[in-house]
Amino acid sequence: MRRINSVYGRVEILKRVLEKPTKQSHAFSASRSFSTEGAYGGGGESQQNSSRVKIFDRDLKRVHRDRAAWLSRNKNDTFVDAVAENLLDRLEDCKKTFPSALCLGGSLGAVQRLLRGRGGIEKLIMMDTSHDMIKSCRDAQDDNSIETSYLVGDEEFLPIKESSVDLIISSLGLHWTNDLPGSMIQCKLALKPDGLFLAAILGGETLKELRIACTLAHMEREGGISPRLSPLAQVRDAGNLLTRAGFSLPGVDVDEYVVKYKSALDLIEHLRAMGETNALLQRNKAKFSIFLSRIFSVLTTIYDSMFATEDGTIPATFQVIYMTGWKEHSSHPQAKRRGSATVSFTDIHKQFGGQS
Amino acid sequence: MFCPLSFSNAGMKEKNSSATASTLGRILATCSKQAKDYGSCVASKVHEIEKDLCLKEFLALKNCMQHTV
Repeated sequence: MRRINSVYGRVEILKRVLEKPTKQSHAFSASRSFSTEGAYGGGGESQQNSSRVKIFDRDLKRVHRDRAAWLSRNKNDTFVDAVAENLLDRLEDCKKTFPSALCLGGSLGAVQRLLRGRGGIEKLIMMDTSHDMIKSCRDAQDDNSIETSYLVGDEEFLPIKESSVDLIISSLGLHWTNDLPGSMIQCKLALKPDGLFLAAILGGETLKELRIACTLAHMEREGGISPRLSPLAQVRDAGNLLTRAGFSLPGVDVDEYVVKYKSALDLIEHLRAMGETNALLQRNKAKFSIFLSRIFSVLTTIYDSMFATEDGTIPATFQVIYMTGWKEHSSHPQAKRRGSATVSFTDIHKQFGGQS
Repeated sequence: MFCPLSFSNAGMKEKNSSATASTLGRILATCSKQAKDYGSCVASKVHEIEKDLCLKEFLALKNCMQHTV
């Protein structure tokens, strides 16, 4: 029913059933050849498999998100709510309305709950890789004024027709994709001209205390280092990502949240409830359960002693990078052609005095 | 009664994880002195950290934890 007109090559037909059952099962195709290596012009399967870098184990991430859906079913997470609120606030800064919107995985529940009619959204599609997360969002839906449909899909293989949505929101979800530029390019393609892309991802400074404590614990106990925190984008990369994806009028801003916990164990519990635990492919799989691991028990003691504040709580930094981008449209102001300036900087300098 | 399998598994996971978390929390609370010693040992030697630098404190902590269970 929905075909993606892939400019990059072959199209594979996948059969999946949408969450809301209708008389016929919706079959839609997702193009596996959507990738930034599209310059190969739709190369063979083997070429695509080898050219795509796998950092995260997406199946494990889906399992984490299933568990997170269960753990956070009754509680509202203040951190996640703050990020979602910040993101949705930007909708009020635009005069434009967005009749159709797509919400990609991350903190779906918070976005759905805090939307409150902003942006003039009439049709909302919620998408996540985890079935349980979608189910809990659907059960929590209390606002029936927006026509909401639920979809289980992967951000890396976006099953959305080109130029079909006005707005794409992703709150704290995209930092788990293996191919972030590719996902953003697919988002751009899915947007209608003059459509908006809003995303919040975790940045490089996030959990730096945990990173230090993990490294120290591992070095003291085992003598080496094993990667336990995912590679995260730096702020300077965010602008490049937006321009590489082809968004016009890109905007990036950063917020740092310091969250205080009673102990390192509470921090880990919070991370599990958000679904943000380790899913690196390189993780040490021999250690079956992190709680039984020798490293973990010393990790908490090191964290508590190194970073404790006067009142006994420990801080954890979360750096959130907010990215906004628009799909190009004729109404957007374009950069002027080189050499078309009519006033020189020396004239301006003379005009406003010699203050350097 | 229909009980979604994924939810029941996740429920068990939660029980297991919170059980081990609270067990670990309890153990660390009883062994707080050894934990603090180990933590301050590592914290003081941050720049020259090597394998088994704080072995003595770690063994004391391990001993305490194993005897608490």
